[in-house]
Amino acid sequence: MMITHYLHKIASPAAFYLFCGRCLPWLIALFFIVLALGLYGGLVTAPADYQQGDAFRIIYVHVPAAWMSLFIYLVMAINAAVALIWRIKISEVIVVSSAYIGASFTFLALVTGSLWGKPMWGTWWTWDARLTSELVLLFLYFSIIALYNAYEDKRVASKAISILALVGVINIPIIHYSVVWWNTLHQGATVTKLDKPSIHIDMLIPLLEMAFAFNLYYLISLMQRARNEILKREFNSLWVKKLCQESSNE
Amino acid sequence: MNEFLTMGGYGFYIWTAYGVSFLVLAVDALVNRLQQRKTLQNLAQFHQTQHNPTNILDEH
Amino acid sequence: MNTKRKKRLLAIVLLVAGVSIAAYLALQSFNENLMYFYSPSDIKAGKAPTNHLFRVGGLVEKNSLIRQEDSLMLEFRVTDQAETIGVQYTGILPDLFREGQGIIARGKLNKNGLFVAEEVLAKHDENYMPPEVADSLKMHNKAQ
Repeated sequence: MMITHYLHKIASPAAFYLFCGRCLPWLIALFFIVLALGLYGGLVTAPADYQQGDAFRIIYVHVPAAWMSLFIYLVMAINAAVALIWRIKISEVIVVSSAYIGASFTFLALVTGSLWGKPMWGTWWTWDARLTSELVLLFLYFSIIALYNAYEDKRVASKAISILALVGVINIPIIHYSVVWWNTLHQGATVTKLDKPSIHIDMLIPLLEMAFAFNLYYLISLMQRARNEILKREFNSLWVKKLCQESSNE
Repeated sequence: MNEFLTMGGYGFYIWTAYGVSFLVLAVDALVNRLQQRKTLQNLAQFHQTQHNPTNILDEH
Repeated sequence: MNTKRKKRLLAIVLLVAGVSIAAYLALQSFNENLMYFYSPSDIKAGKAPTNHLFRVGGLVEKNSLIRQEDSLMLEFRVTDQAETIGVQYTGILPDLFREGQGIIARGKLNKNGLFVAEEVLAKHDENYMPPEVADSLKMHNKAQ
C-alpha cells in the first residue's frame, strides 16, 4: 500500500520534475567519476588481447553502447505498455524521451562496430543477421521519433509511438539471439552467457564500469528530456506557473 | 606516450571510435540543455503576458 | 484492474503475440538467406548454391597456407573438423588471419572443387584475455 502510494506521488508530473531536478547534479558527478575510471581501465590498465592486440579496446565503447541500445528499447516498450494500459503520463514521457538517446546509442554501436570490424574482420560492414537486425533497431528508433513529431496532439502521438514501440519489441530477442540462431560473422556473447564470462577479469572490470557510466548517461539524458517534455505538456498548470514566478523573482 | 597514441597500429580506429562516442553524447547533452532553456524562456514569456495560449510552445 | 484496462492489456498481449508469430514465419522463410556462410560439410553435401556467390566458413587448417612468391595469390584449406575445402585468394588478408583461425571467404567453387574467393574475412571468438594467459592456457592444455 505504501509503495503504490509512493509511486502515485512520484508519478505526478510535478513531483517527477522536482525529483529529477534534485537527482541530476549527483548523477552527473557520478557519471564523470565512473567514466574516468572506465576510460582509464579500458585504455591504460587493461592488457592487450592475445589475438586482437590493442584493437580490442574498442570493446569499451562498442559493447556498452550495444547493450544500452537494447536496454533502452526494453525500457521504452515496458513504459509503452504501461502508458497504453494505465494512461500514466510519466510513462508516456519516458517513452518519447528515451527514443533520442536510444537512437544515439544504437548509432554508436553500429559506428564503433564498423571501426572494430575493419581492422579485425577485414570489412566495415556485412549483411549478417546481427548487424542487420541492429540496423533495423536504428530505423525503429528513427520511425518512433518521426511518428511522434508528426502529431500535433502529444497525447495522441504518445499512443501512436507506444504501439509502434511494442510492435518493434520482437526485434530485441532477434538481435540478442541472432548469433546463436544463424551463422554470422559476429561472434557470440561474451559476458551475458550463462556460464562464466569468457573475458579476463582485468578486461571485464573496465567493461562493467563503462557500461555503468553509459547507464548513468542514459538516466541523465532521460531525466533532462523528460523534464523538458513535462514542462511543455503542463505549461498551463499551476505548479509550472509557480515555477516560472519563482525563477523570475530570483 | 607515443605508444599509447598509436595503440599498436590501431590508433586510428580506436581514437575515432572513442571520439565519435563522446561527440555523440556531448551533442545530446547540448541539445537537451538548449531545449530546456528554450522551453523555460517560452514559459516565462507565456506566464508574463498570459495571452494566446496556443502556438507559444511549438517545438520548432 | 478494471475491465477497460484488462481489455487494453489483452489487446497489447495479442499485438505482441501476433507480431512475434509473423516475425517467426517471415524469418523461417528467409532462413536460407540469413545463413551467412556454409561449412565445408554443407558444401560437400551439396547444400551450397552453385549458380551464385556464397560464403564458406571454417578454421584455416594448420600448415595448409601456401603463398605465391611473385604475387599476392595464396591458397589454404578451410576445415570444420569433418570436411575440408581448398580456398584460393588473391589480395590482402585481415590482421587476424592465421592458421587455426576462423575465417569466412566469399566466392564460388570452380570446376576442380577449389573455392575461388573474392573476399576473405576473419572471424574471432568471444574470448578475450591477455597473451600470457592464452599462453599458459595452451601449455596447460598440452600438458593434459
